[in-house]
Amino acid sequence: MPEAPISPRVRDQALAWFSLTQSGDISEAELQQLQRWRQSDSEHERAWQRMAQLPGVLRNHARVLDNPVARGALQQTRYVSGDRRQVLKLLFGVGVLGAAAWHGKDSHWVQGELADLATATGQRLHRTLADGTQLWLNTASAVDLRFSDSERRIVLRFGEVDILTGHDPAGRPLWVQTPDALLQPLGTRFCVRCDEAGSGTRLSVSSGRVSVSVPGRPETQVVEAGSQAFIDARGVSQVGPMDPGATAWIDGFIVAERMRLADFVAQLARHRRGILRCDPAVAELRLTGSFPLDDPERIFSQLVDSLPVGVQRRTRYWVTVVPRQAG
Amino acid sequence: MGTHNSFEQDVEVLYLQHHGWLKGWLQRRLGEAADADDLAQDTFVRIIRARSPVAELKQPLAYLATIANSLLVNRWRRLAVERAYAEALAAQPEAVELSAEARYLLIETLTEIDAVLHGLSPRVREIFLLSQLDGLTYKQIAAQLGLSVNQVQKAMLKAFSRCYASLFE
Repeated sequence: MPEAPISPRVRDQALAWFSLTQSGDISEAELQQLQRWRQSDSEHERAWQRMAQLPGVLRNHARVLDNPVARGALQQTRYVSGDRRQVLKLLFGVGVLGAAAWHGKDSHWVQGELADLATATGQRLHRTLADGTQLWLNTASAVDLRFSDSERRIVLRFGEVDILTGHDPAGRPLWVQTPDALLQPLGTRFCVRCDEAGSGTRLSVSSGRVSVSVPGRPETQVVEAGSQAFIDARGVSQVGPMDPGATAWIDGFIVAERMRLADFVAQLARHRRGILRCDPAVAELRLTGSFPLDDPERIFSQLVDSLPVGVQRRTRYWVTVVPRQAG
Repeated sequence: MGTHNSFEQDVEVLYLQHHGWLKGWLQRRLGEAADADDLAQDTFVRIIRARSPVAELKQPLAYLATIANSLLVNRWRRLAVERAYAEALAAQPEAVELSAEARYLLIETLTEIDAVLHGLSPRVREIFLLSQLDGLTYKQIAAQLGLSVNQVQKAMLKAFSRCYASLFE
């Protein structure tokens, strides 16, 4: 049975504690403090039990690593830059993204910290809840999980979440709440996006159906499989066929099918820290392909290769896609 | 019965429709036709082994690309480990070369560990190995490598959080 989630905050605390126990320098007082921390909350203890598995990563292979050549190889394995094929190394640039979780200063940062599940810009996350419901959290997103004896409620604070509903043995109904709407899935996989309060909610239904109600409006409306819709205070609008690339982020891609460059850049910007803009002069160019989200730099070079554009960098974090300079 | 296909038939349809596209997709990333052919085949082998239904894929191309991409990543990681292994071997002339089979298994294991440590620099890896395999304290590591204890702590935290993310997130 899947475990309950562990929040990023508790994870980071547990990591700090665990690292201290491995230092060879932990004091008696600190050990007692650690005991108290573990006992003060079941989530702390669960996080701690995970930590205890970390040394196994190496120690289970201690015999292999006794071989000094093997050990040297593991230590020196790196993804050097160079020929074109090796740009793939950027697929592993996760370390940079991980840093966002520790040092992020997004406006959503504090809210994200308080949420039950949250991702920093550039992160994505998959969780299976105790009732079997699966959640995929896109970049810069936060949800709360409010499960009680009578209902299961998932609150999207901001960002985007894809949900595959599980069959609850207790038969509790599942609700998904955004600032704009209350959604009830009817045996379903669907994706909900709400960038910030007041911007409206986007719903895409991959299978099954979702019933939508808007606060202050009596009627409910059902959105069917293969459809997407926009929901705000005025109700449900813009119902149409689901964009086939809408949930490619789950697999780590932006899939573009003759997509406007401006729309593409806006999508990419959600996954990247800093400012990323598209010059209006090239906004209407069209783009087709699959682009790996974890590697914006590679995407920039793909753009320059395939379209008459250049990438202008004011600073590391401020990037504009502009018309290519003549000559 | 009539229109209901077996899983194998569904995969065959997928193969006939998209194999060419997938090969082209891989070729653009690899620059070599032979490797692209192999990886395209491997992609379908993996789909057949996984046995998850493919009849009603909404985005067959994205699905294929996702699987092919994870194969590319594995392949790339393995190449990086092989290269590091060859360098480490060259640096130790007295080391005994393993049989082809033993070497294959060793590279396989190292690639698995490397997947957990991905993104960590050689320096962080060295610190992590000294602590977790040799049992040195952070102070001893700092002294041995000429670093501050604070730098060692930071490296260890980074390594543990990478392991945690690989195992649990």
